[in-house]
Amino acid sequence: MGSATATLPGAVRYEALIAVRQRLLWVVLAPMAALIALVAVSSPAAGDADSASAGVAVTALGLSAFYTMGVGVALSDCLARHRAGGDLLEATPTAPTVRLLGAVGGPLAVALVPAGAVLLLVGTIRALVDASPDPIGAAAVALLTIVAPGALALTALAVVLGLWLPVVFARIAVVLTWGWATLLTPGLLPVPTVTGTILSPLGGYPAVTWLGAPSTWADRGETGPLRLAADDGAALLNLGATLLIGLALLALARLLLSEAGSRIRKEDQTR
Amino acid sequence: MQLLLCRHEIRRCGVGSVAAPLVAGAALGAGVAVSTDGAGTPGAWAAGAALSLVAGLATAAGLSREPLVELHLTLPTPYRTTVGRRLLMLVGSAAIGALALAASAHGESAATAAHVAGLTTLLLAVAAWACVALPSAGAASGAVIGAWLGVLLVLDRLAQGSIGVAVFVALATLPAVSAHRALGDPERLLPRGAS
Repeated sequence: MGSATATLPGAVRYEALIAVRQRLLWVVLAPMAALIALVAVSSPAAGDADSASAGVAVTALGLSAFYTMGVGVALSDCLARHRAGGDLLEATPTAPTVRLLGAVGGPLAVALVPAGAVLLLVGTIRALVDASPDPIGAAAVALLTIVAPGALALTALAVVLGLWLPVVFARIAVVLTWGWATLLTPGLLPVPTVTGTILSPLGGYPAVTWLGAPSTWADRGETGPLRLAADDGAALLNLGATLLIGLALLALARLLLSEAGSRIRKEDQTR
Repeated sequence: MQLLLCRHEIRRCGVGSVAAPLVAGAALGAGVAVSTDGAGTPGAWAAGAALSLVAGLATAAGLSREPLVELHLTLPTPYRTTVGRRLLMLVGSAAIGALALAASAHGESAATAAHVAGLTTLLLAVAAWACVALPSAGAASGAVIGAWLGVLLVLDRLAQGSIGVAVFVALATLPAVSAHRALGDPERLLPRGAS
């Protein structure tokens, strides 16, 4: 355990450096974050918002709904590529769990930088317009409670699917699952969804409760066993459920990786 | 001979990539056909948008699987021709998928079909460009998603109807021309910093 805490930051750091040098996240994700922020800021929902931090919350929800999709798709092959490097990495003394957390956490951290920068920019502009420091704090809260947990959950799903399926199908499944869990409502297509419940990884409950977002599926008056009224407890449950989904999927990825490893070793022995 | 060539290029793209738009078109078409509200506009619109995204992602995956560009550049067949053949396989699959969807969306207006066709054209052009210009399949897929979101969030509100379709096709020529030129230029095809 002691060695894991010592090596984890290093693993995250070098995987993040690789992601920065590959430029893929910068070229593709930064324009996407800027586009979504422009759309969110110019939307009527942000204009009508009465509290200053609500504009930040609307931007964060837009990023969570659409930017996260791009992150999941772009990162869906990162563990499969990691596995392809197999034997060499197996020979290092680093624990497999640490390598997995580095391989997912490093690129994910880099991918969240454009989203964080855009949120900070929107928060700073709102703070200057309203002459109050609240929106800057709201930007940090939004990144940590809305965008980052959702991105963790979807990236974890993406890497599990990337280990399991051909990567085209993994990417398509990532987009469909995210749309189903955050945007699809029975009004659009008559199928059961988790949209608007505390299980939805969009982050609607934290946005409504802590940042005063004007209107999300979390508070449109519809009720049910999983559609609690938006309050502190529901927001914490929503956040916890999203993090739990992400960690459970990462554990599944760890299981898939070790199964693949043991299969290779068995083949080596029979040869 | 032609059939053998087709089979070869389909294998080089990955059977899954070529099959994905076709299967998605059939599945979405079946879904729209059985849905009780008879292809209500939001449902058919969402199915069309989903199909165009599947076609774009499949193209990004199919065209970026070539690990031996250097070898291809030494062959008598220009690499541009090879990529063109692969693109043809993917376009064919997307077209069959779109026809399957259009056939099942009973009573759907031609405007929706034109919108899907225009959006798919744009996404395929972006995918082809991204596979040449960007360093990995992940980045190319990200570019396709970005273009898709850009159309759905911004362009669809600014330009609607047949003007929108014309805008899609006009925008598609930019990445298409860029990809066409890059495919004829070995300097841009080989990984940078390799020498």
